[in-house]
Amino acid sequence: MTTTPVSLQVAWLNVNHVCNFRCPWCYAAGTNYVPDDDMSIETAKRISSILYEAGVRSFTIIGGEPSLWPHLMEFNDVCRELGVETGLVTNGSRFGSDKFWKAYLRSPCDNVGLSIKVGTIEQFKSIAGKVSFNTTKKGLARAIAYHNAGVSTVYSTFVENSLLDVARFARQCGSTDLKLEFCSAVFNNGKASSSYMVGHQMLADNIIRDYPELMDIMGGKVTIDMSTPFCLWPEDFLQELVDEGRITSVCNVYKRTGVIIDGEGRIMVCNGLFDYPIGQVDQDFDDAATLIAFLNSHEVTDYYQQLTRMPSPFCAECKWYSACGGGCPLNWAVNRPEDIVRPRK
Amino acid sequence: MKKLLEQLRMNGPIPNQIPTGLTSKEYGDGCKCHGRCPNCWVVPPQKS
Repeated sequence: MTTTPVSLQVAWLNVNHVCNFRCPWCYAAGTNYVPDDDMSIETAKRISSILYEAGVRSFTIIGGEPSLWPHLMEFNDVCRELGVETGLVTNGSRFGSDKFWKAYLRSPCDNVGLSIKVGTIEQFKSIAGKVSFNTTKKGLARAIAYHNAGVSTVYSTFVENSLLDVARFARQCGSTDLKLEFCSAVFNNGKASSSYMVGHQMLADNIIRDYPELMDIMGGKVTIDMSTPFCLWPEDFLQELVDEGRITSVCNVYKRTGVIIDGEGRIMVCNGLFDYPIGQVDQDFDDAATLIAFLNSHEVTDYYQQLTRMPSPFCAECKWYSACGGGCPLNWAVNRPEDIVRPRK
Repeated sequence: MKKLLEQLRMNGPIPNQIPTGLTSKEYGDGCKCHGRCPNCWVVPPQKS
Protein backbone atom coordinates (compact mmCIF):
# COMPACT_ATOMS: atom_id res chain seq x y z
CA MET A 1 0.00 0.00 0.00
CA THR A 2 1.08 3.55 -0.59
CA THR A 3 1.82 4.69 2.92
CA THR A 4 1.33 8.29 3.83
CA PRO A 5 2.84 9.67 7.01
CA VAL A 6 0.36 9.83 9.86
CA SER A 7 -1.11 13.30 10.27
CA LEU A 8 -3.27 13.48 13.37
CA GLN A 9 -6.41 15.60 13.37
CA VAL A 10 -8.53 14.09 16.09
CA ALA A 11 -8.11 11.93 19.16
CA TRP A 12 -10.47 9.76 21.12
CA LEU A 13 -9.76 9.63 24.83
CA ASN A 14 -11.19 6.56 26.49
CA VAL A 15 -11.41 7.96 30.00
CA ASN A 16 -13.18 5.15 31.85
CA HIS A 17 -14.87 1.78 31.63
CA VAL A 18 -17.47 2.36 34.29
CA CYS A 19 -21.05 2.70 33.06
CA ASN A 20 -24.50 3.13 34.54
CA PHE A 21 -26.01 0.99 31.76
CA ARG A 22 -25.41 -2.69 31.07
CA CYS A 23 -25.99 -3.07 27.36
CA PRO A 24 -25.20 -6.70 26.63
CA TRP A 25 -23.71 -5.96 23.18
CA CYS A 26 -21.25 -3.31 24.40
CA TYR A 27 -17.53 -3.83 23.87
CA ALA A 28 -17.01 -2.44 27.37
CA ALA A 29 -18.66 -5.54 28.85
CA GLY A 30 -15.29 -7.23 28.39
CA THR A 31 -13.67 -4.70 30.71
CA ASN A 32 -16.01 -5.66 33.57
CA TYR A 33 -16.84 -1.93 33.87
CA VAL A 34 -14.20 -1.62 36.59
CA PRO A 35 -14.53 1.73 38.33
CA ASP A 36 -10.86 2.04 39.28
CA ASP A 37 -9.32 2.54 35.84
CA ASP A 38 -10.46 6.10 35.21
CA MET A 39 -7.99 8.27 33.36
CA SER A 40 -6.42 10.54 35.96
CA ILE A 41 -6.56 14.27 35.31
CA GLU A 42 -2.75 14.27 35.26
CA THR A 43 -2.71 11.67 32.48
CA ALA A 44 -5.44 13.55 30.62
CA LYS A 45 -3.46 16.78 30.78
CA ARG A 46 -0.23 15.09 29.76
CA ILE A 47 -1.81 13.27 26.83
CA SER A 48 -3.74 16.32 25.67
CA SER A 49 -0.57 18.40 25.71
CA ILE A 50 1.29 15.82 23.59
CA LEU A 51 -1.62 15.50 21.18
CA TYR A 52 -1.98 19.25 20.87
CA GLU A 53 1.69 19.53 19.93
CA ALA A 54 1.07 16.75 17.39
CA GLY A 55 -1.61 18.86 15.72
CA VAL A 56 -4.81 17.50 17.27
CA ARG A 57 -7.48 20.15 17.78
CA SER A 58 -10.44 17.93 18.59
CA PHE A 59 -10.79 15.41 21.41
CA THR A 60 -13.72 13.04 21.60
CA ILE A 61 -14.22 11.75 25.12
CA ILE A 62 -15.51 8.19 25.24
CA GLY A 63 -15.85 5.34 27.73
CA GLY A 64 -17.54 3.43 29.42
CA GLU A 65 -19.85 6.28 30.19
CA PRO A 66 -17.66 9.37 30.13
CA SER A 67 -20.23 11.63 31.81
CA LEU A 68 -19.37 9.62 34.96
CA TRP A 69 -15.71 10.63 34.64
CA PRO A 70 -15.12 12.89 37.65
CA HIS A 71 -12.69 15.15 35.76
CA LEU A 72 -14.93 15.93 32.78
CA MET A 73 -15.61 19.58 33.49
CA GLU A 74 -12.05 20.29 34.66
CA PHE A 75 -10.75 18.70 31.47
CA ASN A 76 -13.10 20.81 29.37
CA ASP A 77 -11.61 23.90 31.01
CA VAL A 78 -8.08 22.65 30.29
CA CYS A 79 -8.96 22.07 26.63
CA ARG A 80 -10.67 25.41 26.26
CA GLU A 81 -7.52 27.11 27.47
CA LEU A 82 -5.46 24.97 25.11
CA GLY A 83 -7.68 25.83 22.13
CA VAL A 84 -8.96 22.31 21.61
CA GLU A 85 -12.59 21.30 21.15
CA THR A 86 -14.07 18.49 23.20
CA GLY A 87 -16.86 16.18 22.20
CA LEU A 88 -18.60 13.71 24.47
CA VAL A 89 -20.11 10.40 23.46
CA THR A 90 -22.71 9.51 26.04
CA ASN A 91 -25.93 7.69 26.76
CA GLY A 92 -27.26 11.05 27.96
CA SER A 93 -28.74 9.77 31.21
CA ARG A 94 -26.68 11.97 33.51
CA PHE A 95 -27.91 15.09 31.78
CA GLY A 96 -31.31 14.19 33.24
CA SER A 97 -30.03 15.07 36.71
CA ASP A 98 -30.72 18.75 37.42
CA LYS A 99 -27.67 18.96 39.66
CA PHE A 100 -25.33 17.46 37.06
CA TRP A 101 -26.80 19.48 34.22
CA LYS A 102 -26.30 22.72 36.13
CA ALA A 103 -22.66 21.83 36.84
CA TYR A 104 -22.12 20.68 33.25
CA LEU A 105 -23.40 23.93 31.79
CA ARG A 106 -20.65 25.81 33.60
CA SER A 107 -18.00 23.87 31.62
CA PRO A 108 -19.73 22.03 28.78
CA CYS A 109 -18.17 20.10 25.95
CA ASP A 110 -18.27 21.76 22.55
CA ASN A 111 -20.38 18.98 21.10
CA VAL A 112 -22.05 15.78 22.12
CA GLY A 113 -22.92 12.53 20.40
CA LEU A 114 -25.79 10.66 21.98
CA SER A 115 -26.19 6.94 21.87
CA ILE A 116 -29.79 5.78 22.12
CA LYS A 117 -29.93 2.17 23.23
CA VAL A 118 -33.56 1.11 22.99
CA GLY A 119 -36.96 2.51 22.12
CA THR A 120 -39.32 1.23 24.79
CA ILE A 121 -39.56 1.36 28.55
CA GLU A 122 -39.69 -2.45 28.71
CA GLN A 123 -36.40 -2.83 26.87
CA PHE A 124 -34.88 0.04 28.78
CA LYS A 125 -35.45 -1.74 32.08
CA SER A 126 -33.31 -4.63 30.96
CA ILE A 127 -30.24 -2.52 30.21
CA ALA A 128 -30.39 0.44 32.53
CA GLY A 129 -30.24 -0.92 36.05
CA LYS A 130 -31.25 1.82 38.46
CA VAL A 131 -31.33 4.62 35.92
CA SER A 132 -34.86 5.70 35.15
CA PHE A 133 -36.31 5.90 31.67
CA ASN A 134 -37.73 9.36 32.26
CA THR A 135 -34.43 10.71 33.60
CA THR A 136 -32.65 9.39 30.52
CA LYS A 137 -35.28 10.82 28.19
CA LYS A 138 -34.99 14.18 29.92
CA GLY A 139 -31.19 14.07 29.62
CA LEU A 140 -31.30 13.16 25.95
CA ALA A 141 -33.79 15.94 25.21
CA ARG A 142 -31.66 18.48 27.05
CA ALA A 143 -28.47 17.52 25.25
CA ILE A 144 -30.13 17.38 21.83
CA ALA A 145 -31.59 20.84 22.32
CA TYR A 146 -28.49 22.44 23.84
CA HIS A 147 -25.86 20.91 21.55
CA ASN A 148 -27.97 20.32 18.47
CA ALA A 149 -26.57 16.87 19.04
CA GLY A 150 -26.57 13.91 16.74
CA VAL A 151 -28.12 10.63 17.82
CA SER A 152 -26.91 7.16 17.00
CA THR A 153 -28.01 3.66 17.78
CA VAL A 154 -26.38 0.25 17.51
CA TYR A 155 -28.34 -2.33 15.56
CA SER A 156 -27.93 -5.58 17.47
CA THR A 157 -30.05 -8.66 18.07
CA PHE A 158 -31.42 -6.74 21.03
CA VAL A 159 -33.28 -4.27 18.81
CA GLU A 160 -33.46 -6.19 15.54
CA ASN A 161 -37.24 -6.04 15.56
CA SER A 162 -37.67 -2.72 17.32
CA LEU A 163 -35.51 -0.34 15.31
CA LEU A 164 -38.55 1.75 14.44
CA ASP A 165 -39.31 2.15 18.15
CA VAL A 166 -35.77 3.46 18.66
CA ALA A 167 -36.31 5.99 15.88
CA ARG A 168 -39.64 7.10 17.32
CA PHE A 169 -38.02 7.51 20.72
CA ALA A 170 -35.22 9.58 19.16
CA ARG A 171 -37.84 11.85 17.62
CA GLN A 172 -39.68 12.15 20.95
CA CYS A 173 -36.42 13.35 22.47
CA GLY A 174 -36.16 16.01 19.77
CA SER A 175 -33.64 14.43 17.46
CA THR A 176 -33.87 15.40 13.81
CA ASP A 177 -31.56 12.68 12.51
CA LEU A 178 -30.39 9.20 13.34
CA LYS A 179 -27.20 7.39 12.64
CA LEU A 180 -27.47 3.64 12.46
CA GLU A 181 -24.47 1.51 13.33
CA PHE A 182 -24.14 -2.22 13.15
CA CYS A 183 -23.07 -4.18 16.20
CA SER A 184 -19.54 -5.40 15.68
CA ALA A 185 -17.57 -8.28 17.09
CA VAL A 186 -16.49 -7.74 20.67
CA PHE A 187 -13.40 -9.19 22.29
CA ASN A 188 -13.40 -10.63 25.77
CA ASN A 189 -10.16 -11.99 27.16
CA GLY A 190 -8.75 -12.11 23.67
CA LYS A 191 -11.64 -14.07 22.23
CA ALA A 192 -13.95 -12.65 19.59
CA SER A 193 -17.69 -12.96 20.02
CA SER A 194 -20.57 -12.28 17.66
CA SER A 195 -23.30 -12.95 20.22
CA TYR A 196 -25.25 -9.76 19.57
CA MET A 197 -24.46 -9.26 15.91
CA VAL A 198 -27.44 -9.78 13.63
CA GLY A 199 -26.58 -12.42 11.03
CA HIS A 200 -25.40 -10.73 7.85
CA GLN A 201 -28.21 -11.82 5.56
CA MET A 202 -30.89 -11.10 8.14
CA LEU A 203 -29.29 -7.73 8.83
CA ALA A 204 -29.55 -6.76 5.18
CA ASP A 205 -33.12 -8.06 4.89
CA ASN A 206 -34.28 -6.27 8.03
CA ILE A 207 -32.70 -2.94 7.16
CA ILE A 208 -34.12 -3.02 3.64
CA ARG A 209 -37.52 -3.84 5.16
CA ASP A 210 -37.38 -1.04 7.77
CA TYR A 211 -35.57 1.63 5.77
CA PRO A 212 -38.59 3.37 4.15
CA GLU A 213 -40.43 3.74 7.47
CA LEU A 214 -37.22 4.69 9.25
CA MET A 215 -36.70 7.49 6.73
CA ASP A 216 -40.30 8.53 7.18
CA ILE A 217 -39.99 8.73 10.97
CA MET A 218 -36.70 10.65 10.81
CA GLY A 219 -37.82 13.07 8.13
CA GLY A 220 -35.37 11.64 5.64
CA LYS A 221 -32.29 12.08 7.80
CA VAL A 222 -30.91 8.62 8.39
CA THR A 223 -27.26 7.77 8.04
CA ILE A 224 -26.02 4.22 7.89
CA ASP A 225 -22.53 3.65 9.19
CA MET A 226 -21.71 0.94 6.69
CA SER A 227 -19.31 -1.33 8.54
CA THR A 228 -20.44 -4.36 6.55
CA PRO A 229 -18.94 -5.10 3.14
CA PHE A 230 -21.03 -3.45 0.44
CA CYS A 231 -21.54 -6.79 -1.31
CA LEU A 232 -24.02 -7.70 1.39
CA TRP A 233 -26.51 -5.29 -0.16
CA PRO A 234 -28.47 -5.45 -3.41
CA GLU A 235 -27.04 -3.09 -5.99
CA ASP A 236 -30.19 -0.97 -6.35
CA PHE A 237 -30.54 -0.42 -2.60
CA LEU A 238 -26.86 0.40 -2.24
CA GLN A 239 -26.95 2.82 -5.15
CA GLU A 240 -29.99 4.54 -3.65
CA LEU A 241 -28.17 5.04 -0.35
CA VAL A 242 -25.07 6.35 -2.11
CA ASP A 243 -27.04 8.69 -4.37
CA GLU A 244 -28.91 10.10 -1.38
CA GLY A 245 -25.75 10.54 0.71
CA ARG A 246 -26.97 8.18 3.40
CA ILE A 247 -23.75 6.24 4.03
CA THR A 248 -20.63 6.82 6.05
CA SER A 249 -17.93 4.24 5.58
CA VAL A 250 -14.27 3.42 6.11
CA CYS A 251 -13.09 4.06 9.62
CA ASN A 252 -10.06 5.68 11.10
CA VAL A 253 -8.15 2.41 11.16
CA TYR A 254 -7.79 2.93 7.41
CA LYS A 255 -7.35 6.68 7.33
CA ARG A 256 -5.07 6.99 10.35
CA THR A 257 -5.92 10.61 10.95
CA GLY A 258 -6.78 9.98 14.56
CA VAL A 259 -5.50 8.16 17.60
CA ILE A 260 -7.21 6.50 20.56
CA ILE A 261 -5.71 6.70 24.04
CA ASP A 262 -7.03 4.79 27.04
CA GLY A 263 -6.99 5.63 30.74
CA GLU A 264 -3.50 4.32 31.23
CA GLY A 265 -2.04 6.27 28.33
CA ARG A 266 -2.01 3.30 25.97
CA ILE A 267 -2.60 3.70 22.24
CA MET A 268 -5.46 1.62 20.91
CA VAL A 269 -6.14 0.80 17.27
CA CYS A 270 -9.88 0.66 17.88
CA ASN A 271 -11.98 1.24 20.96
CA GLY A 272 -13.23 -2.32 20.70
CA LEU A 273 -9.67 -3.66 20.93
CA PHE A 274 -8.76 -2.74 24.48
CA ASP A 275 -7.02 -6.10 24.84
CA TYR A 276 -4.59 -5.15 22.08
CA PRO A 277 -2.84 -1.87 22.81
CA ILE A 278 -0.02 -1.03 20.45
CA GLY A 279 1.87 1.58 22.42
CA GLN A 280 2.24 3.25 25.79
CA VAL A 281 3.10 6.76 26.89
CA ASP A 282 6.53 6.98 28.54
CA GLN A 283 7.54 3.73 26.90
CA ASP A 284 6.93 4.19 23.19
CA PHE A 285 6.53 7.97 23.12
CA ASP A 286 6.87 10.88 25.47
CA ASP A 287 6.21 13.89 23.27
CA ALA A 288 4.64 14.80 19.95
CA ALA A 289 7.69 14.02 17.86
CA THR A 290 8.19 10.55 19.35
CA LEU A 291 4.44 9.85 19.10
CA ILE A 292 4.39 10.64 15.38
CA ALA A 293 7.63 8.71 14.86
CA PHE A 294 6.13 5.73 16.67
CA LEU A 295 2.93 5.82 14.60
CA ASN A 296 5.01 6.04 11.43
CA SER A 297 7.39 3.27 12.47
CA HIS A 298 7.73 0.28 10.20
CA GLU A 299 6.26 -2.09 12.80
CA VAL A 300 3.11 -0.02 13.41
CA THR A 301 2.62 0.81 9.73
CA ASP A 302 2.93 -2.85 8.81
CA TYR A 303 0.41 -3.77 11.51
CA TYR A 304 -2.16 -1.33 10.12
CA GLN A 305 -1.55 -2.65 6.62
CA GLN A 306 -2.24 -6.19 7.78
CA LEU A 307 -5.37 -5.07 9.63
CA THR A 308 -6.74 -3.29 6.57
CA ARG A 309 -5.92 -5.83 3.90
CA MET A 310 -8.75 -6.73 1.55
CA PRO A 311 -10.98 -9.45 2.97
CA SER A 312 -11.06 -11.26 -0.35
CA PRO A 313 -9.25 -11.25 -3.71
CA PHE A 314 -12.65 -10.29 -5.21
CA CYS A 315 -12.30 -6.86 -3.58
CA ALA A 316 -9.42 -5.97 -5.88
CA GLU A 317 -11.83 -6.04 -8.85
CA CYS A 318 -14.80 -4.41 -7.15
CA LYS A 319 -15.90 -0.92 -8.22
CA TRP A 320 -17.06 -0.21 -4.69
CA TYR A 321 -13.81 -1.06 -2.94
CA SER A 322 -12.63 2.49 -2.39
CA ALA A 323 -15.98 3.40 -0.83
CA CYS A 324 -16.34 0.13 1.07
CA GLY A 325 -12.86 -0.79 2.21
CA GLY A 326 -14.06 -4.32 2.88
CA GLY A 327 -16.02 -3.33 5.98
CA CYS A 328 -14.93 -3.38 9.60
CA PRO A 329 -11.86 -5.62 9.95
CA LEU A 330 -13.30 -7.05 13.17
CA ASN A 331 -15.99 -8.75 11.07
CA TRP A 332 -13.35 -11.20 10.01
CA ALA A 333 -12.72 -12.42 13.51
CA VAL A 334 -16.20 -13.95 13.53
CA ASN A 335 -17.08 -14.34 9.83
CA ARG A 336 -15.33 -15.92 6.89
CA PRO A 337 -14.86 -13.68 3.83
CA GLU A 338 -15.89 -16.53 1.52
CA ASP A 339 -19.34 -16.57 3.17
CA ILE A 340 -19.97 -12.87 2.52
CA VAL A 341 -17.70 -11.37 -0.11
CA ARG A 342 -18.66 -12.16 -3.66
CA PRO A 343 -17.98 -10.63 -7.03
CA ARG A 344 -20.57 -8.06 -8.00
CA LYS A 345 -22.51 -8.83 -11.12
CA MET B 1 -0.37 -7.40 17.74
CA LYS B 2 0.17 -10.88 16.35
CA LYS B 3 -2.55 -12.39 18.53
CA LEU B 4 -5.20 -10.20 16.95
CA LEU B 5 -4.01 -10.73 13.39
CA GLU B 6 -4.11 -14.49 13.92
CA GLN B 7 -7.85 -14.24 14.58
CA LEU B 8 -8.68 -12.24 11.46
CA ARG B 9 -9.43 -14.18 8.31
CA MET B 10 -8.89 -11.66 5.56
CA ASN B 11 -7.24 -13.34 2.61
CA GLY B 12 -7.12 -10.60 -0.01
CA PRO B 13 -4.17 -8.45 -0.99
CA ILE B 14 -2.98 -5.30 0.73
CA PRO B 15 -4.60 -2.49 -1.27
CA ASN B 16 -2.51 -0.11 -3.33
CA GLN B 17 -4.45 2.88 -2.07
CA ILE B 18 -6.24 3.72 1.12
CA PRO B 19 -10.02 3.48 0.60
CA THR B 20 -11.62 6.91 0.64
CA GLY B 21 -14.96 5.89 2.12
CA LEU B 22 -18.23 7.82 1.88
CA THR B 23 -19.57 10.72 3.87
CA SER B 24 -23.26 11.25 4.53
CA LYS B 25 -25.26 14.35 3.70
CA GLU B 26 -25.50 15.20 7.37
CA TYR B 27 -21.73 15.23 7.61
CA GLY B 28 -21.53 17.15 4.40
CA ASP B 29 -23.62 19.84 6.04
CA GLY B 30 -21.17 19.86 8.92
CA CYS B 31 -20.65 17.06 11.39
CA LYS B 32 -22.68 17.93 14.42
CA CYS B 33 -20.89 15.88 16.99
CA HIS B 34 -17.32 15.42 15.78
CA GLY B 35 -17.07 11.66 16.02
CA ARG B 36 -20.36 11.00 17.61
CA CYS B 37 -19.88 7.52 18.88
CA PRO B 38 -17.15 5.06 19.71
CA ASN B 39 -17.64 3.05 16.58
CA CYS B 40 -17.80 6.09 14.37
CA TRP B 41 -14.41 7.13 13.20
CA VAL B 42 -15.52 9.80 10.84
CA VAL B 43 -12.96 12.53 11.18
CA PRO B 44 -14.66 15.88 11.63
CA PRO B 45 -14.20 18.53 9.00
CA GLN B 46 -11.49 21.02 9.79
CA LYS B 47 -12.87 24.37 10.78
CA SER B 48 -11.55 27.30 8.81
